[in-house]
Amino acid sequence: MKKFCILTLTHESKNRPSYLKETIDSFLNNTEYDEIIDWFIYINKSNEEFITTCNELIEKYKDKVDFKIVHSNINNGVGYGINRLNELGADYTYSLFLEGDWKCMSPEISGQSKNWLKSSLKLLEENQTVDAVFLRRYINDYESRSTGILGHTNINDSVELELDSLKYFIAPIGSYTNNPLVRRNSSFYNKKVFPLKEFFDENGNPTELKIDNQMYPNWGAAEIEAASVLHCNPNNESNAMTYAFLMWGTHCHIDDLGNQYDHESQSFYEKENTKGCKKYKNGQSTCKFGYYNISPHFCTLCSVDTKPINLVHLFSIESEMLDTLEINKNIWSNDEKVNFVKNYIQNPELNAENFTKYFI
Amino acid sequence: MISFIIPTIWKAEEIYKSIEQFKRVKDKNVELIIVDNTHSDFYDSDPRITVVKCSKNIFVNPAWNIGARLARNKYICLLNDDIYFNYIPLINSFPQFIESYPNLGLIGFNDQTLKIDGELNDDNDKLELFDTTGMVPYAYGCCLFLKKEDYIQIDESYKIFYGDTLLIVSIVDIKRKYMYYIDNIKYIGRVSVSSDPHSEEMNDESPLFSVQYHKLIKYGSDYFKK
Repeated sequence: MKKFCILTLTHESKNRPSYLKETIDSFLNNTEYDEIIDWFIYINKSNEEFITTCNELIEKYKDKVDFKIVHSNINNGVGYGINRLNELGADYTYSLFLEGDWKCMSPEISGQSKNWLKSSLKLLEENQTVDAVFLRRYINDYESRSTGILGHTNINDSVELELDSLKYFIAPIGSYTNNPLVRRNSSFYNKKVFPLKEFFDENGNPTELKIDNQMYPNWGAAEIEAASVLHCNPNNESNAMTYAFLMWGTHCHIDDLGNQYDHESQSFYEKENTKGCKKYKNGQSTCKFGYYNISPHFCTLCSVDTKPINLVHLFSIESEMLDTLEINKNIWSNDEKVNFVKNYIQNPELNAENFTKYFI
Repeated sequence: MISFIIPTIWKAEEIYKSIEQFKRVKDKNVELIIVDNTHSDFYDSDPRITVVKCSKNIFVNPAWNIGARLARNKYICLLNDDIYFNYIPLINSFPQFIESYPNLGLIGFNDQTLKIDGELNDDNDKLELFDTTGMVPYAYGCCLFLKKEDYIQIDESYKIFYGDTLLIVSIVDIKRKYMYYIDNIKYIGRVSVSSDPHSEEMNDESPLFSVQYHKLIKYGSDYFKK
């Protein structure tokens, strides 16, 4: 078996060739690796722009990367594309699964050193019970809550680990994600997560597609089906996987950078009311959880005593607090609402009064 | 039905005619996977064509490995880039091959129908197979049909030579299936190799060649005793 390769899926939507370029450029600018990297890319419906972009990347990185880029003229959907990539990577023990719309942030922005990949592989080699290293960097609490997988972890069984000056927490997880992962490939087959389900209609037309803003009926279904195979139940963890979460990740979703990120200075815009308590240092982030922008109310829930790995608990009390405020929206006075929020959390990181005005 | 797999460095002009011939086929259940060992600018929007662009020349056998992994049909055809033929009668005859010939393992071409140049015609509506009965025709491996499930991933130390022989060993000797050749298809070309003829690995005296040869003898010793 060969040790390591990268598997990248992209597709025909607008801007995808430039996203792919940013994915590759940012990875290679912000990652140390001592060998030529084997990198497989599967393009779900290519075009001339993809051909040109990819050939430029091949030339640019000919001393660093051995690319094999599949230009398919049909978009057969996400599950199909990932399955083909997994087959191409079948001779490798580990793979970085990295879709073509993820930006690897610089050490100044992420707070992670460039040895994150070598460290992740070392972690997997030294900890045979760990199935994957999770690399996503959530930009803000909203993204983390709405698309995050932390809610599927069993934090009670988590352990913290420091390796090569990088911090991880390791926890069982009852879900699957197409977010950036350094995977122990065999685990995903042993746990029946792979192969992913492929979706076609009765005429053989693919149905797990999203092209620009047009979503087909089964968009995202392969990921959901794979997630349903896994269960993280304290009484029965036989179908759980174990992830090491790099705190707090290296890769941001390019589509979610939006107007929060200044591409010229390669850093996030900073607004005083979304910077949080500023007590921590996670690259450009000064938040305990590594967020660059934080909903003002979220900081009212964060206690000095809240450990970073208890983020999920924070989401649950956030939900409870927001529900209570909503239920009493027309009953309580503003003062009552402010008092409720101030009394909601003990020993807060930040004086709640500074933030209650933003959401009450 | 069939996934055709062609590794190429675009030196053989026949590949362009081969692609033309492929595109004349109307059947949607065929695909052409071109493993482009030069990452050229070639692009064709035919939905049945997939192109794999490689950073460097990975040579023929590793290219077959990639093509076989990507193939979405039950049958694959490993095809030289320096020959072309009329795909239509071959595809029309294929269901008959599959049903009529017992324990079919491999189908190749017969050197007697190879032409250096000339025109193709559509005369051959019904192609016939003959079993090889211990004799493998010259140029047999320039076009090899087999079931995808019968394909073995070829050790990557075999770059150019012996990939076809290893397939024969694994399918005929190990799986005990039969080899056939197509007797009456006209095909045009030169039957060399798809990869760089000036590479070190093509040199019979190179250490790599020697290593490959001896490994093959060891691997396929039963086959060579016949």
